[in-house]
Amino acid sequence: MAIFPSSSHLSRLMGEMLAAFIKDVRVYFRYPSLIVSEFITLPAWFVLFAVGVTASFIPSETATSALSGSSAFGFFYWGFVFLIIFSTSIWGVGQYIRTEQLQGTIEQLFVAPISRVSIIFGRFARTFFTDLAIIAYTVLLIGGLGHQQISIGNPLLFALVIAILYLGVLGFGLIFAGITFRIKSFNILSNLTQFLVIGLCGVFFPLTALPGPVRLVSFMIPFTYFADLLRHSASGATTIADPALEVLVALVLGLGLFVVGLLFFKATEKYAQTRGLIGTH
Amino acid sequence: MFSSVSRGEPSVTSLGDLAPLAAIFKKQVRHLIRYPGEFIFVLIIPYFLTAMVVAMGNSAGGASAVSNFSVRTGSKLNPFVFLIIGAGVWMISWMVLEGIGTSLRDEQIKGTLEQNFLAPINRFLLLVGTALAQIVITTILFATVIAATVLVLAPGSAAGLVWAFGILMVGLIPLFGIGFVFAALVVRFKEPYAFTQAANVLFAVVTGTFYTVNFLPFWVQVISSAIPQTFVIQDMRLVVESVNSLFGAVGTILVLFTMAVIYPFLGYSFFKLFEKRAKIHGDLSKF
Repeated sequence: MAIFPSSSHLSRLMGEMLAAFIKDVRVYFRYPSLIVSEFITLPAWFVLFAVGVTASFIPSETATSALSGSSAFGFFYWGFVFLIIFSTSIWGVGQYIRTEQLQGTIEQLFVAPISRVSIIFGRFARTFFTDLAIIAYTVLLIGGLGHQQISIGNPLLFALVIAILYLGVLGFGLIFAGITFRIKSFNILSNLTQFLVIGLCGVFFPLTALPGPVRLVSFMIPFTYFADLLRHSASGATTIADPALEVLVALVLGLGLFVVGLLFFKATEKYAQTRGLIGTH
Repeated sequence: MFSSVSRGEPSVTSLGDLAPLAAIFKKQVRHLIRYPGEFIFVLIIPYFLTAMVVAMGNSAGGASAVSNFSVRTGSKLNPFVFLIIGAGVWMISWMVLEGIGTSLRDEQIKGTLEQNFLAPINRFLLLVGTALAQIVITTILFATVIAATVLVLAPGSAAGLVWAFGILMVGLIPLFGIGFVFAALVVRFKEPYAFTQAANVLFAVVTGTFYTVNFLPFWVQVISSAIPQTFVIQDMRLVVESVNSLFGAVGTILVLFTMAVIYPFLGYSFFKLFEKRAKIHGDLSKF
């Protein structure tokens, strides 16, 4: 199974990824206003919803059984962190193909002696670091302005869950990047996907708020377990299933998503090459 | 008031000089309806965001969520109606500010901006024609988001919708002025979406889209009071709850009227300042 067709050596692969990462960092810093906008917009979205709920629906900042034992603020904060990381799959990894199509560089990349998957890894690595920066910055911001403290209950489990989540995000991002070869309305699909994950995976409200049949759909989505475990490892919130079993399930799902993503991307890439659809958008 | 101030730009002295306004308006509306998928998506977003806040609120507040909401906001409106008024106005202001703010940028990218600036019409008409087209969007959004929700969830408040629409229209005029400022900043700094996105989300935070502004710190409330949407949302909620509340909202409606006079003038002056600089530095063709 030749998943990385252009490189058979690990060192060369690492070199490709490093080069792709440096290229993406350079492009990122080329637009400082977008960076400033990102650092304003993302925390502002969080404040909008967190204040909207805590100010209007609950009398005081208390832990509630309805929110799996978390404080309302903590519940929304970890949902926000999950959403930032999940968004990487769409706007970071998934959007890579469309960005290159729009810039008119996609065909040059296809004839370059480097795997497209390596380039995607480069972008993924860049978004990983910018995600961390935004999450840390938001903690400082809400700590300073809102006097809210955020702590991580089980750092080891948290690190494991983050690793599983990123594995799943990368796999899903590759699926999304592959789909981009076939669709024209990238923005509509991206927004819809994001809204569906928010609505179905218990990101900002517990699954118990959903009707029974919809909840069944939620249980079939890997990101439901990733979001649940992220919150559990950080704030000790109760989980859908036994935590140990859920970690195992999440690990299998994360790995599965990653492998499926790689295979799907390679298949759609080949299809686009055969049909001459690489630069079509 | 908005007659020519620069050489080569004709002044508006008669009704006949307003003919280009109709042409610009028609062109903008055509552009709007050219992408129906995106527009339908814009209509769905307020429903989605409101449903999300209600679901989150009900989960967090449990059985007493609705009564908590009533106590905390001081409103007897159904929470969904209360929140969707905020979400609807926010989406309208987003569309208007982005529509006006990025219109010049779009022309730059299409390569038509310089031709438009060379056309024998007053520059003010270019911006006003674009702004007027936003009334179409505003009306459609109001009807499909706010009015539809009120008619379904609070049919008894239907009478208040007429007043609510009137308040929205008055609030639109100062919004045009803010849009002109956005347009000026886009001409100066390029990269319009970075700027409009950040500004629009911040506007949602400070104007009380999903809460009343009383919950915000005092210094934020000071900023809120300079933004017309704050009063539009507040007054629309009041008149939808009860038409009689209109008398209590007279003060803020007067503030809106004052903003409607001052903001477009200030916005256009700001735009002219940046436009002049762009002409001298040749920024109009750079992006």
